[in-house]
Amino acid sequence: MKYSYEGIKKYLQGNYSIGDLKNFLERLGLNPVINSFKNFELEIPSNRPDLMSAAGIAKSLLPFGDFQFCFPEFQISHSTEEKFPVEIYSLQDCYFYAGRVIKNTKVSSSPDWLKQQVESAGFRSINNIVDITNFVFWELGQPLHAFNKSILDSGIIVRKAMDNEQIITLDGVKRILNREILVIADKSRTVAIAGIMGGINTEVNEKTTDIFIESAFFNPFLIRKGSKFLGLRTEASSKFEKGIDPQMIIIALDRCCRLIEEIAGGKTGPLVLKGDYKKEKESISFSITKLKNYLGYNIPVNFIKEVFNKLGFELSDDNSDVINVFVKSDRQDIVYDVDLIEEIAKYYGYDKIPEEIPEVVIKPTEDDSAYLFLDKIKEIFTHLGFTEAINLGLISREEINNFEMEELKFLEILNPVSVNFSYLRPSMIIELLKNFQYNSAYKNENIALFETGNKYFLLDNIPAERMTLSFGVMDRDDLFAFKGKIEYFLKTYFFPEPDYGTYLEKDEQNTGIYYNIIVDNTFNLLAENPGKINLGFIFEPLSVLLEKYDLQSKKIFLAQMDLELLKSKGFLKNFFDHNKIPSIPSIRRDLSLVVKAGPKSDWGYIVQFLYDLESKPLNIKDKIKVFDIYYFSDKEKKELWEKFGFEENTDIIGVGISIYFSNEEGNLTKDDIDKNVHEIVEAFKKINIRLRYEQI
Amino acid sequence: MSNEIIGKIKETVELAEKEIKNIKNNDELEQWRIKYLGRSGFILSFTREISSMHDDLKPLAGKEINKLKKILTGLYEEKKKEIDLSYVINELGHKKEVLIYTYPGREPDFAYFHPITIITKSMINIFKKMGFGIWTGPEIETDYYNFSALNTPENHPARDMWDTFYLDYSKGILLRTHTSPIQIRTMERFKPPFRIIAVGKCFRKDAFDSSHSPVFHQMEGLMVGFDINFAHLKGALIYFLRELFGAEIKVRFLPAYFPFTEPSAEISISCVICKGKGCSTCGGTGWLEILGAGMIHPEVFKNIARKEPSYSPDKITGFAFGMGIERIAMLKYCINDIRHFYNNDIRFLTQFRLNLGDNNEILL
Ligand SMILES: [Zn+2]
Repeated sequence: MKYSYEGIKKYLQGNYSIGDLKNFLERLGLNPVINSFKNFELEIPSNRPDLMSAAGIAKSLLPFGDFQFCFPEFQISHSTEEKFPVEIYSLQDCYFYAGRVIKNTKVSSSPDWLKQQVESAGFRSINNIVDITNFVFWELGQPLHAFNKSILDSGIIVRKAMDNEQIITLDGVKRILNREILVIADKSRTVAIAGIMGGINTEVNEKTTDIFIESAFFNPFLIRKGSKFLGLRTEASSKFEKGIDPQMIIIALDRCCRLIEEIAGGKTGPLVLKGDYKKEKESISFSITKLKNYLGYNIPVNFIKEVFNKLGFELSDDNSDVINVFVKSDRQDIVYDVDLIEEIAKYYGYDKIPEEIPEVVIKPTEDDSAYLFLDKIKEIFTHLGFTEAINLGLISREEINNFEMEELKFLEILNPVSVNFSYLRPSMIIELLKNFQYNSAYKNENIALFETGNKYFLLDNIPAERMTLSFGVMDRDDLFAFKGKIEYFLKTYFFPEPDYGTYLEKDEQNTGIYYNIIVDNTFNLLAENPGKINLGFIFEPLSVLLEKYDLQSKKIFLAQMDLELLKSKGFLKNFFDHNKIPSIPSIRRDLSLVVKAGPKSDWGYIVQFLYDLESKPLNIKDKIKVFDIYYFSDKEKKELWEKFGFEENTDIIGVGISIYFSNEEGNLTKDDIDKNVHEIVEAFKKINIRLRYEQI
Repeated sequence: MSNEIIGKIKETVELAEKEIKNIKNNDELEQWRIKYLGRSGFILSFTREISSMHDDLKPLAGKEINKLKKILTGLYEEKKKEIDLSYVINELGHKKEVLIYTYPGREPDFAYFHPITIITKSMINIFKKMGFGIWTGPEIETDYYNFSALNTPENHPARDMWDTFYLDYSKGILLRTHTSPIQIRTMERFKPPFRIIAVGKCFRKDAFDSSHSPVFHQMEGLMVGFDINFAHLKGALIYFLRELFGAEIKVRFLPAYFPFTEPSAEISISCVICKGKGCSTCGGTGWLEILGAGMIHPEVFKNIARKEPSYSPDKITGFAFGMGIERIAMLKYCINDIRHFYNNDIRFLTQFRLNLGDNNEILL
């Protein structure tokens, strides 16, 4: 609802300008926005329904100065004895119901002043009767409803709706109700959704002469639930759901009837009352010392008492530190003594309370290990050349389908904001590929991104999340450069052994090739299957997927790793001692090998094979490195098949390895090494690996 | 007659080009210059020849000589430059070659933290100085931690302040709308006194446009102790805001409403763009809303005290505050579209540096 300086001035007399008014409203935290017509709107917090009326606002301003609250005196004429029976079927949903009949009134359009009043308050002018109910609602904060009485069938019944009961509301929409919705009915039909909107069947129009005005107090939770269920929010419902002032029910009803008598004419009947809502007058015990300790500042007692008085709160009149404060019925937001402390601080001014740095025990509070872990992971990945990305984590079903992920139970948002953001990501690489698409569209080249965050899934029917790391490259690395970074990361920070990298398991899918990253999980004594564990994967998208993202010409590798597993392993500690650096340089031999495809071409197998050889050509301190992977031309293949006696069309690749022989005693001779190399080359033959040439 | 002279000129050019090719130093070049462009050089001798020609032919021949002069001068200047440069290179002991050292260096594979991470770290560093610990928590939360424990029971009208994504209505499983559940979880973990910062991703049912996002990051703080008061809340937050935005900013505290704090405050700083004069960023008011804060509501303490009696509101007090990290990053870096944070465009991400003081005087 909207208010104006002139509008407020009628209820709050005193010497203040429009600027003062704005300042007062600001100091109450209501963020007034004044438009060019000097109307203003307020941000009224949900716990202050008392501020949803002109009179309520005026009352809240009283402590700001020497002001007078004023309200016009009025008297109803009581010129008919006609009553109208009201029955409340569920008293826990309608605490109180008041009404009056007005006979022989003349419904017409409103006089100009009223029309202008309701329109500037933000209502549409309908006719004099409806406008008066809205005006009094604006003025006093009590929602009122006028029924066409001649259509009502012998009385008002307040009851719960039945399932699928229907009503066409005043806005012309057919509403289907349920048992949780409160309705106003007569003997034969439903005439209004209580507290939310009236029915079109009892609408007051120009032909109406007899009306019934309703002023009631409905259960706020029920109104809120009903309004949410129906998706129907009205000024009345938003007031009812926050709570009304029970003291105002009859005053507003009478004010409304008097205005109808004055403006539309008619004879008002006696008050009809049902319900027995009585709130005990409760007091809050308020300690001035507590206020001082709570605010950290001593506000003068005189000021405190003056604010309470001006707000109309009664005080137990002794001068002790603890006083009893009786809060007025419209201030249901005030329940605890801290609510009263806020009231005092507000009128005193938050800005006038001097700030102070807290004195504390020097012991700082510890940090969350998950935060520290993520912080370190982010640092490592930026050092590895990956720029940090952050994605929403909300994706579409289509994006999940693109990846043809199976056996994962996805989490769907039940009330999404759009189909694009209706699922929680089951994998962290989906959005990373989207990031590459975005960058590629802007011709950004040579990209490496990483992200830390959660992936989400259904675990035993319960939504779950898991701390995960994803990273990827576009037109930067080949598989080995990419894998090298993963190996560096794992070896340097988590798994120093074994020495030759992470074990990968290939899994070809339609959309791309997954290389599962397998590590030793003996660190996790509680693991179900001690031994090898899948830490994550490298994913090489294939053209079927790349085309969907307009990335067909791009060389992309993506990877994902489980951070919770890594966190449970924990970062390697810095050792108290370091490995001694050999003083004798090692001796290096480079072998250019031809490796024949097959199960024995697995690198882990080859290395293990060498270490397992009975003749022990390799010392445990010796190192093997791959310095080149070479794909032969057709011509070269042909020559090599012939040379080594391989069948035609055998798949072979060239692998260049360096072996670093070392011996701390330093007694390695050229002959020793020649012998070792010879033994290695001979042994290799058993697993179909041949020496192409050796470089010394 | 004219053909004859054109022929001669052509020959001269060929000769001059041939000779200049072999020239290695300035002395030789000077000889060449005298020969072709000097007082008794070719040009003058041609000019003299023309003067004896028929008037009709003079303009054409003059043109040819001018052309020649231009060519020769060009050759001279080019060679001069080359000799000068090669002299420098030879002094440095390099071979004469393409001036490759003037070309740009190759870009390293740069990498940067996301601006949200950078601003979060800057903010955390300020609170670290005050001894706050940093805590995180689950993004998938229950109704209890996100609402009820925070004095916002079901059907409470204040719930409208947080438009919530649900994953399971009947079990009340949702995506947290703020980092406040971390505060509850931390109170369950620590006995007072303590002080923590909670940070993380939050979700609200909002559109994705230049000023809204269904996902955003929040930082909240919580300090619980035996004599914590409103003046302390002001002290800690004014310190934080001045460290982050500069000592010259003004800070304003106004009343606000949150179900989990009482008194509650909304905290604004004088606009960093217009210095309080009023501009489009601050909506003409000169103030920017930055934080929501307040003294922790006794109902919140009561909820914790059910399990841990030391949280009885008779014994302890505390303050809490919260702010949107994107909003702060947008103000600090003058970013006008929140979607930039989530597109992960490398041209955007590579503009922000960690450990470069972003406040002139303060290194964060
Ligand atoms: Zn501004």
